[in-house]
Amino acid sequence: MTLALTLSSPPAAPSDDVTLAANGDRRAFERLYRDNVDRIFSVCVRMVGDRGRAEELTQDAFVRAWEKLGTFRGDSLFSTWLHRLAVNVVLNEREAETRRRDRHDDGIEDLDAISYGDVRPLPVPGLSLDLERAIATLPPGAKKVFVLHDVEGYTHEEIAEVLGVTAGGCKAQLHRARMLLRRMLTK
Amino acid sequence: MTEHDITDESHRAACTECAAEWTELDAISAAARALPQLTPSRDLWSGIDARLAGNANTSSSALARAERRWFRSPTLRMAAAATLLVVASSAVTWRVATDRNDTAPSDPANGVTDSAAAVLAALTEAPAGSPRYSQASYESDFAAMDVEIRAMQSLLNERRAELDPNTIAVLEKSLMLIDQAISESRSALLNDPASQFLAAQLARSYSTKLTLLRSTATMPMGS
Repeated sequence: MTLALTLSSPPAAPSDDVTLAANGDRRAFERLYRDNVDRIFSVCVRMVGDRGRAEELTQDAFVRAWEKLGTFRGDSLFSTWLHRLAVNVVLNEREAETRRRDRHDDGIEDLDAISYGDVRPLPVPGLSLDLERAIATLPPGAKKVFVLHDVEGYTHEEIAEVLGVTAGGCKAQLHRARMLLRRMLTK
Repeated sequence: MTEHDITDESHRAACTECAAEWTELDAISAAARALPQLTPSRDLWSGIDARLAGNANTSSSALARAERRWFRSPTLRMAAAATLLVVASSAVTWRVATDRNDTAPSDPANGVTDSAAAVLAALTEAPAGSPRYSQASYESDFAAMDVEIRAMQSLLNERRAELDPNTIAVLEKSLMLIDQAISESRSALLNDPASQFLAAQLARSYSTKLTLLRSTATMPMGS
């Protein structure tokens, strides 16, 4: 699965640092890293619920971006391109993890079957906000949809494309994720 | 549609219970949109930079394949390494000395001048009243050292099969630590580009790396 990298943001000329980095300037790329690392780490940690793994995935995303910089044409903002590339890295990693564990994780779990007793111990130490903690305990599929839609602002159509589900299924999943969060937060 | 379809706007207009629930869900969405960005617990750049350096070596494999035709024998490879060191290091050293109106601190006895050591000396040992070793100059010299390092690493990649695996393991572990130090110094220099102290720290790390690469690249087979 690969999320298209050209949606939503208006066309923008690549910045000087993007051009320099595309020509092999690692210092320019470091500046791009420092400008974007928190946003990339945030989406990674919220999607995987594990800080250590999210840090590894953040590094993977920037290495992938370096490798693919030559394909960036400025059809979107660099930050948008990078963000979507990072989402693809996380989703591909989770696919591989799922295959390794031979466990079904395509975002279509039966959320009705999830009770509060199924909520695992909080896997993200240091996140004090109740909502952060609740998001971290969501089942993987619900977490993906909720983070991409409500936190990151992706459309249902974009999420449906990347997850390989219908937009209607995505909406239902989002509603159930919100319901689950509401129940957790008002418990 | 269920009897209480909370997503149905007309139903919510008539059902206060569902309307209230919908408001709560809306509040959750609003709170999600307002979540702050999170920061990693450590600086991830050093690890990224080390991997990019590895990629650069990989991408230079075509060059390495072309060089392979010339470097069939270990003797020729070591000779080439020595020549490379003399040319690359001397160029940087000459520039440093020129900047300082000084004589180049080359060592004619062994024919190898240490470019990083020359930069370090220019940054830390310049006599009072001598021209300041400029930021532009040392940045240019570090870039030249990067070229030298890439060339040495390509040579080492060529020789991997000839060297003892334990030597390679120790080398890689050491390089990782040095690269981390280089990355941290570079990051600090980005924030304070005029700092001669930070530039000297970076030069020390470069000097260590170059020394390690040189000694390993010119090791006899089986070392």
